[in-house]
Amino acid sequence: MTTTDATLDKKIEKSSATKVSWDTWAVLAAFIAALLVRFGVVKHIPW
Amino acid sequence: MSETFAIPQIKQVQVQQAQRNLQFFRVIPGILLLAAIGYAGKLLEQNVGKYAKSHHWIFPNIEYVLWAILLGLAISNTVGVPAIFRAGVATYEFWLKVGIVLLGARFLLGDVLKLGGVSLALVAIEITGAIAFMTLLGRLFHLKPKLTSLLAVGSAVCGVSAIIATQGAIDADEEDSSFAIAAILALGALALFAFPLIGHALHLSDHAYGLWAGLAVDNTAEASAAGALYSDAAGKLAVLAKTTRNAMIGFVVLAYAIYWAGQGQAKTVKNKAAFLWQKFPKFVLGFLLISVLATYHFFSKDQVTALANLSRWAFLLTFAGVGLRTNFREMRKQGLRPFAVGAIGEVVIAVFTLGLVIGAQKIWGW
Repeated sequence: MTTTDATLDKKIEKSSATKVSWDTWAVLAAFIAALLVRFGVVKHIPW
Repeated sequence: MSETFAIPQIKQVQVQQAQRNLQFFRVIPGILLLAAIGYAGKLLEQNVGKYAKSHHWIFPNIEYVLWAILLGLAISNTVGVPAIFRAGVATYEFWLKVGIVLLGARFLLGDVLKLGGVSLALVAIEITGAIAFMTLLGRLFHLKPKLTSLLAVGSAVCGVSAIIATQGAIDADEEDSSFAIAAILALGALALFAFPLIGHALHLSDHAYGLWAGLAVDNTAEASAAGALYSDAAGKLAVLAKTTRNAMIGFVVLAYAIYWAGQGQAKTVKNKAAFLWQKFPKFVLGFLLISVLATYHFFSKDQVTALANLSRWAFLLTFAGVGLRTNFREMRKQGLRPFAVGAIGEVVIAVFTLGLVIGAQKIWGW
């Protein structure tokens, strides 16, 4: 097996093993939104 | 291995990337539908009342939460949700979790610890009582033992997520989990409308009602909606109590996994800490972290208001999704017995938790 093959194998294996859950994506999305508000990129959110 | 064998693997990575891109684009129509229904609900809340008043009609003040759910229900149970929208509609749980994390900005850490502590004590009693009662009921109705376990976890902890997590951990049949999910969803839909009516009839305070909805309604989306239908403050409390319940999911699923492995009917759990971390809902940590940041004034007052509004928008998409996801015809197809067990269990759990909340209300004087 070549190094490329091994790296690809690991990459494929890793991509399925470390698949980020929706739960984690939701936390990340909420934090990005919170930081955008905190640092003034988004100033006002109407309701 | 020669280079020629590497080509299919490179293709595999490219295919995975293409599938991810495709998945991203597949969710857009459904998300737009959620937003359109949610926004229509908001417009109806603002305009129907005004219109009725200007025409001297007597019309109840219906909040956007109920409008969004009703519009979703109407679509789902008449024309149905077209295939193009389904992937995006399924993202409503994602928006729910975004909404819960952002809601953390409206809670100071002291409140979370105080209310969370009360919730935790009540949740521990609720989970123990609910699991014991559902197990007994499953035996009385001669349900399959693993189906009974799924129904018990679904009604004691947190609905669909708990059932899916337990199904994998105890090697239960797909069919059993479909039964349990259908029963929990049908009962959640009923609770959504029954709980606010009962709460008003009993003149429960926002605090007591919110805790009750968070303790007794199974699915997080339905519990949040049932709370928000009562009042904004009750909605906040319902989310907090339900989040405390969700935090218990890993422990309950682990206990079931160990039990069924002991019976030789499920895989043994080797690394219990990793298992707990894998099953732990990460949005609970996100909620706590945002609450800590808000407590230590990381956000200004205006920024907290902006985050609270953003949380409301995320919940708006969730409530539209709750309506769109509920199809009564599909639920009827799943059979009566698991539904009957679930229904009896839910009524008993609702009465039991109501007693707990009223007892706690007397002790703490809310």
